[in-house]
Amino acid sequence: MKTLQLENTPKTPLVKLDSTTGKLIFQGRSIPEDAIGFYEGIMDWIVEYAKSPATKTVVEMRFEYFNTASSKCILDVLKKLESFQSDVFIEWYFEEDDEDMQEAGEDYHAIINLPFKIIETEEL
Amino acid sequence: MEWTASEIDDFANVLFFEGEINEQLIDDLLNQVELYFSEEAISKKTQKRIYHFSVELLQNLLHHATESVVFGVHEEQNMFLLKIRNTIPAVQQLQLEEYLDALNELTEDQLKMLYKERLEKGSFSDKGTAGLGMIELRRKSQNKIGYTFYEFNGKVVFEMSVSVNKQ
Repeated sequence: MKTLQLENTPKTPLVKLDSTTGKLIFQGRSIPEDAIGFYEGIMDWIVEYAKSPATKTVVEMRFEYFNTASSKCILDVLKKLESFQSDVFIEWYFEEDDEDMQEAGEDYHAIINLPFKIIETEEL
Repeated sequence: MEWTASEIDDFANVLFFEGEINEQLIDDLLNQVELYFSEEAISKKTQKRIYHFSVELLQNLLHHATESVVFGVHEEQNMFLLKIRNTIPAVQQLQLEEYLDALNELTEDQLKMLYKERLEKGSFSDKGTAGLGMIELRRKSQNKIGYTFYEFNGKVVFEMSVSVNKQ
């Protein structure tokens, strides 16, 4: 399956979804006015990937910031990953002292039933 | 509405915008907000909160406002106020007022629970919004949302302000 790679823009994150390595990376800002439209392609890829996922999928979420519309889309992505039969690990990164992103990670951790690490980092 | 320089300064002494909102203008305003506050002697946390609130307020206006809007940022001694002003259909006033009053009465824990519940169980509106914006503003502000309604030229004008404490 082809890797999905979206370069980051001022309003949307870098997205790199690699079916061979099982590494799914989200990095940057997610503030599109049309969040549903932006995440639709990502969800389509994940639905397709779900048919034959890597033995181990590691999701790195390195958001600097996201709007509330994106927060719902991000949850939808996590819920889809939660339904996989294979192993999925979530790594939620937040910048040093960014309590809001830390709390966002904790909110998702409380909802999603997957191995979930919340990691403070100097740079996203 | 005609604004005098003094009225603008009283409303928003940092950044003031009045007009019809669109995506390009939102980008410009957010750039201005980001640039201005990156040069202020305030914590990165406060900068991010101000930016966060600006995104939510401006995008809310984009989705819901049908006429000219006002967006402003005002600095006070211990806080920044982010304000919006727009006309709303008269039939929406009561529901909006009740919703804001209810949010303003919730504790921090109740807001957190409400946010998680709406995040998990809520659905997107036909405008593509998640219904989380006001809850998020109230929750992260740690202060009550200020608002007022008044009549102008036969229409209902809604004005709202959300504060970010200086840290």
